[in-house]
Amino acid sequence: MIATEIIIVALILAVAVFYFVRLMRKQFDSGSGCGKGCSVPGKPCSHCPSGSSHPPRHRA
Amino acid sequence: MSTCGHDLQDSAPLNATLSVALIGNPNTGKSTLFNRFTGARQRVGNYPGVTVSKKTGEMPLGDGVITIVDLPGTYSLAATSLDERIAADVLTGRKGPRPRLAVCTADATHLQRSLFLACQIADLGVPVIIALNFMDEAESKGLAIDAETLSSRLGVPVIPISARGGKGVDKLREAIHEALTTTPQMALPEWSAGVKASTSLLQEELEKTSNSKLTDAELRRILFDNNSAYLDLVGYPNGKRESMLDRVRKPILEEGTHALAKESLGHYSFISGALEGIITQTKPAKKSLSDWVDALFTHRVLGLFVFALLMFLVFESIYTFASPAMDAIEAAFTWLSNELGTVLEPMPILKSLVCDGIIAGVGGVMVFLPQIFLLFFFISLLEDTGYMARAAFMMDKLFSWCGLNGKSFVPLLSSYACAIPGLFATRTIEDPKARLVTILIAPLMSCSARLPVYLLMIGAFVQPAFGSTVAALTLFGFQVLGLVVALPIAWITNRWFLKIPAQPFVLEMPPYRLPVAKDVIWRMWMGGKEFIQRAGTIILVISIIVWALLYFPRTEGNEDDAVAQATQVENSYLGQTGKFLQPIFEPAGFDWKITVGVLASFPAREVIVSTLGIIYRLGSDAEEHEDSLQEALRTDKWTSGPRAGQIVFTIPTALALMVFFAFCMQCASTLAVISREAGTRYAVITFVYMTALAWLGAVITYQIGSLFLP
Repeated sequence: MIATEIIIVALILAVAVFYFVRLMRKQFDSGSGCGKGCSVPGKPCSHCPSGSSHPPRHRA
Repeated sequence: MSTCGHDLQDSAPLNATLSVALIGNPNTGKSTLFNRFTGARQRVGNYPGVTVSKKTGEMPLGDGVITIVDLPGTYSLAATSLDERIAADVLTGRKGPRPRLAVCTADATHLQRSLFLACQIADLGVPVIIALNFMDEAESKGLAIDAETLSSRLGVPVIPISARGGKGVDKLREAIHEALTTTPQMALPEWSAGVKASTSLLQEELEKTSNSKLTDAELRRILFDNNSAYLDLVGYPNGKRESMLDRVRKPILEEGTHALAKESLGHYSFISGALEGIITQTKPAKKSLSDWVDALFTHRVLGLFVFALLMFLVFESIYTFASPAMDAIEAAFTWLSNELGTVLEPMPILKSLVCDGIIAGVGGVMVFLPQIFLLFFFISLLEDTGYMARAAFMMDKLFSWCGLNGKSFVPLLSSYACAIPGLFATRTIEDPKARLVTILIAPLMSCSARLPVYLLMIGAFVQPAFGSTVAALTLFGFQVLGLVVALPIAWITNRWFLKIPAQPFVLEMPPYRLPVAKDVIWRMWMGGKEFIQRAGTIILVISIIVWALLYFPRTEGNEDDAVAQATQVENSYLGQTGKFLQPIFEPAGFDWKITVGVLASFPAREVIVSTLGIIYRLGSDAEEHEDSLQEALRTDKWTSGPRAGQIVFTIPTALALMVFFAFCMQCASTLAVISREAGTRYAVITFVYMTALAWLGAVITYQIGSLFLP
């Protein structure tokens, strides 16, 4: 029981750390549009409350 | 070979490679029309400068689909700001193929000015359709427009529409379908002998220095526009280029007109003729409601009072109306924590992760969702009614003091929702230095992520001590604090470093309009959705990591003993780090727990709420688990040092923490966008100056506050 519990907690932690690193990398990735992970050229960005779009240099 | 030749074909089948540009003066309803055509939900607003980048979507047409491109508003192809440059580059074909057709949205109440841009586009050889928008407003002003006669005079379809209500949009769609095959060319003025001579001279010069072969229309854009999109094709080094252009412009000058004015005079003279007898006043014009309201809202003294009153009412409402929904959310998370706690009883570590980490962390932030909905509701009302433009007008004088102008106010006001769209909105600012200063101060505006921090502190300390009116006033004060500090920073930057030249500020006042309910609801939903997404992503993962760092290493101790639990958290990895760094924040009255919260919040501000939630859950016994975070904050005491046994959170401490969050650069997304819009150097400068300012502000607040407040 304890081993199972530790494995579950370790897995959750590992996923959280992996996801956190991925999120931070995406923010500062030059191709990530508004910085929130969307990088489809020319597509409107739904991540920002005001519906901003990607900077022009990221579009085709 | 021309690099910007025409991409027109006579009868191409309808497909997504066919693009139709939506272009027009600012605030003429392009994005509303774009949403109608494509089913998209682009942000619309009743003030100039809402759209600052190109947006594309697909519109079903006939048996196929075409691409609709929504461009930023511009008065002319002679672009002076980044957003206008985007529009000019697309229409001139300087960045990719030229659109096959341009739909020019024209404000029916200001037709003459709208047609000027249409003339410029048509002059480039792009087929044009005129969409006469705001026909409902024109009718209510007693204006009758003979669209048919205008269409026959201009030689292109002129379709009356009301994009907001959808009236005439189907007819416009049919006209687009037809125009894609007929490619209607607009009638244009005959250029004078001087213009033709200058065009020939320029062509000869280009043949000497460059391989580019431009059409006469493209050459005229170089003659008429000092910032022409084609200027880089001229091939002269910068200094020599100006003297060459002066030389080739001489034939125009000899006609008694400067080349830069020749285009305006030519087009406006043509437009005046085309509009002769087209617009008739069917009923006498009287002072509109907008005029009456503006007399108050833009009054130099009363206007500022109205602005302050409106803002206070907004934050009073946010504070008052959200309470029942907040209580319900808090109760729901408490219930969920209890239920899951019972299920996970045999697995204490997992139970703690779920209940003390995830639920306490994410739930602590989610409690503020009702306020976020209300904030976006009011922002949407202010923008859609047209008040935003009045506020920008009112702020012009104040902003000119620090080298900016009212144009900087719109991005700053947008930053109240989120700094990211605010940073993009700086593209409307023509002067690069003024734009840079606006980018540097935009993150100081109180974005929605700061709201949970303010509400937590005000709810826990200010409201119990001073009542809800003072609490609302405090919230209002912290919302404007960023702006109040931003202006001196802009002044210092301008005076000592950038020396921004004085800039004129021209702003078109949109008429007051009733907001469309579905647009307001959509804006609220988008704001709320963004908040929930952040709670479910960045805040969730940081909550899990923070929990682990506060839970481990474990030492033996009774789980029901509050002292043992508090010692456990204090000796955890994060507890030890917090205690090590706490002396830095000691002058601001922060203990190690607040220090940990502050440090964990650098990726996203709201994390402090979840981090404090986890710290106080982990450091309490089973009975205290039922207490709210606010109650836990109120009763927390210093465990060591000279203040051992004293209450940690006094009103000065709470105010100092709020000041720290008001000024600190705790948003990775914003830093990333500053880095892209202005360069990494300025992202670093922003981070350093804001963090230093935050520490200094918190220390001053705490030290002075401790002299007067309990």
